[in-house]
Amino acid sequence: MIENTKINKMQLYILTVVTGTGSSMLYGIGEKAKQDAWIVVILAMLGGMVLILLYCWLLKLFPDATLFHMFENTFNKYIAKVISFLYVLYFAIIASHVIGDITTLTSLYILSETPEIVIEIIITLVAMYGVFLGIETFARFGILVFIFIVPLVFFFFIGPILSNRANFQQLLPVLENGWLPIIKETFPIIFTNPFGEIVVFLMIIPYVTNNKKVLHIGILSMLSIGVLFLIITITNIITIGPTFIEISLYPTIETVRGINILNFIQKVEGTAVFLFLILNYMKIMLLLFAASTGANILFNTKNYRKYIIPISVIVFVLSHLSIQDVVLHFFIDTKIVPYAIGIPFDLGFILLLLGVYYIKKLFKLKIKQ
Amino acid sequence: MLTLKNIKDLFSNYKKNNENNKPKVHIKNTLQANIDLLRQELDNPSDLVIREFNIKDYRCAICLIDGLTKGDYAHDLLLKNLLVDIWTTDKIREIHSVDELFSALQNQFIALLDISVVSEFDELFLNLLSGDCVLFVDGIARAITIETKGWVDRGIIESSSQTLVRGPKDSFNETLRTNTMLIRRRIKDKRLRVESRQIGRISKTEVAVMYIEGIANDKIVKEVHERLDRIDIDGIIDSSYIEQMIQDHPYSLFPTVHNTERPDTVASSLMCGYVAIVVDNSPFVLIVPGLFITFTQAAEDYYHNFYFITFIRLIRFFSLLLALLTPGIYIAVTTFHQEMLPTSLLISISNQREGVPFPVFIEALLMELTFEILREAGIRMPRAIGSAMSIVGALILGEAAVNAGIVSSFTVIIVSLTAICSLIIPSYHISISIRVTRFIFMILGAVFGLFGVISGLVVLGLFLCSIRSFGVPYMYPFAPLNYEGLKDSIIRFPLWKINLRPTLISEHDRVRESSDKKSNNTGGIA
Repeated sequence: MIENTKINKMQLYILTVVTGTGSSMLYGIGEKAKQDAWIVVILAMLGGMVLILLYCWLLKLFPDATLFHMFENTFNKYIAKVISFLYVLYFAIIASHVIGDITTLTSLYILSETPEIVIEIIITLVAMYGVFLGIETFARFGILVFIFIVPLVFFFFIGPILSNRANFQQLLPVLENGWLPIIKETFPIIFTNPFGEIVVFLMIIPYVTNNKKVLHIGILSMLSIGVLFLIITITNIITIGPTFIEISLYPTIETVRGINILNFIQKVEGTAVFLFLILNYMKIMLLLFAASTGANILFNTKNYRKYIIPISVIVFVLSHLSIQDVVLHFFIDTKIVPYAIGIPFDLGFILLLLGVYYIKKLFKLKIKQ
Repeated sequence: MLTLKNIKDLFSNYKKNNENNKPKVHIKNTLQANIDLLRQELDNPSDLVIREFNIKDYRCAICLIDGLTKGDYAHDLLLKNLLVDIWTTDKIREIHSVDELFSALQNQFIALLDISVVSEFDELFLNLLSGDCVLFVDGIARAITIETKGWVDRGIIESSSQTLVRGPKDSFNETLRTNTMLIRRRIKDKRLRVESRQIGRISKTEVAVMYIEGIANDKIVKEVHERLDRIDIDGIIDSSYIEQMIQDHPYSLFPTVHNTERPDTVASSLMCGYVAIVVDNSPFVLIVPGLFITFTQAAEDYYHNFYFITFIRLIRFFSLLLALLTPGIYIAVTTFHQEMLPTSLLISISNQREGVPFPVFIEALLMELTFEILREAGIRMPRAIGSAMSIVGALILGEAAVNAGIVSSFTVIIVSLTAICSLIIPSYHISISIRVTRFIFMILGAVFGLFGVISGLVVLGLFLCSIRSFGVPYMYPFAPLNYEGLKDSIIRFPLWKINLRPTLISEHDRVRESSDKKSNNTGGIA
């Protein structure tokens, strides 16, 4: 009645930051770069900012449009449909991946005897509920999450220091093996979680009030994600050391496990799992929302809600397939997703779109002359 | 063809016709006919008083319902006036016809404030049964109703459901006029609107909508009136009837209409732009929109030092979370995640649980249910057996149950903790929602452990963020975030820092406080 069905910039910021977090918070990033992983984070953040600049460039060319509308405007109708369909699949695949990640985490740390499929079903159902309620609702919920999460994250950073487990010497020597391993690590990370999946940003722009100027929001959220990961990475390095980070599955959980303040605040990894669960719930909702609104635009229908159930089923099946083998899941996560999925969807199609747009413009100019 | 829509139309037409065709009974010309009709319609009840008398040669009658009128009004002012005092004036000698008498009655003879002339029996009955006196004059097909309402009420006593240490102690009672008076006494602004209406086909209860024009949001006021118009019910017994009929989400477990017994709360809400609904026969005044935050604020929050209140509010929110989650998390942790507890605590818990025959969930459920039964019994029982209750509750169910090894003392601690935490919430309304939701979290904790509790929290959070009260998001000012609103939420800023009224609730005239604290209050003797 009073408010329109839109989200404000603050909510956009929170949604973007939440998308950026997710599973990488657990796995840690740039582990091959050993103690220089924090440099990787900074470089990847800069890369992410370049992507944001690209996206905002697109938004300037096509104001108030989703990515799919941009495709329809620029490409041949059928090509646009095919690419849009691929994007719907892309969102569904990332969503399934996130579900897979938190299912594995949950069944490893807090529900070891419950069948994974049950956990997946619950996660999918809860996320579906959120998407049914609409972007406005889960964006608002994001604020509540944010209010609780920010102090927790800082606690996880300060905790190891207060527990006297931090050893800043582990950050040295800087650039032990030169720049090469750092660059090698940085490249895929730009195109995957945490910095790459921000392409979802382009799907929710029409829902944002005053969406002409969102560049600063994008840059700010990149910066926030960067700082967040810098904190996590440095805490991991100084607490458990680069070698242990490389061999453990969830280094962040290992770090948090070490927190022991006054023999009272200890064994807080359950709280950490809690944090990751809620953050990833938000992320899944956003991705499911992007996928179902995408399908809505793709099939030219009125209400995105009718696509929630089919897409959720697809996501559920994909996630169940992906966690059959944890090692394979991990391999796909680090070796295949960034190259085969991240690069084309985060950068490739966007560049293609920009290229075709300007070539068309050039041709039109020539015809006029 | 007879479709569903046709049938519906048929029914609504039938209903409409029935309402319109109801014959209107006009007041008769002769006094005797009127009195007969009155007696016949009311079936000559024992509390109907009819006093016939003469003014000059004209026959008159006063009718009233005994007990609903103020005795001194009816006797001293009305009857004495008409029978004795009018002979001291000259006017009475100038009356030569019944019409002249009737107009003189209207204009001069009745020394009471509120009188009106009615010509139909429906209206007359409503006035008579609300406590007015009715004056018939033989030969006139109209009647004068004189406002003499007055009955024995509870008086203005201290609130029993919302108590405080410092602040005004008066509270509403069951009389609508007293309640509006208590509010008016606090707001002497000409923009304070009191818009009355009757709701209830049989009870014909008076309901007043109060707001401050220009501060309250017009859309909310309009919406309140529309929703009240839609109510079609036989009777309104308490304001909670209205609340249930105008709620945004009828199936929601969480209340979206606030209620209070305290006039100071209503006055401050009105000045924030809220709308109050005062219902006759109910000491609880409704306040809309009812947001999550309003249920966690007590009147006393504004009467004390803001450091202290901020501290209290933090405790309050923390206990709200505890009341909601403690049993669920306890069950989850002891059933699934023993490794999460510090070792010494784990050992002490498992020591206590040795010999307890039930799983934790059953044990906790048993104790929670027992406590709920105790609490309900405490409300319903006669006051005199209160001490027996507390002995049963504290000694038998607590001490003896632990000694007998039925429950572990840790569960008793958890249950009492939740009980105390749910009592700290100022509004009983939301604490009952939390009491019910707690059981859902217990089940989730027992089935899916912490994962279930977290998923439940996500669903609860999403639900709370999705509902609205009269168009205002329920979790305002947290979600959507509003800086001005946050000044009076979990923390409370000093009063001189809360400069503006909440955005979504009040549209125009938003300045609340604009004195410059820095330059003020530094004078004095030195």
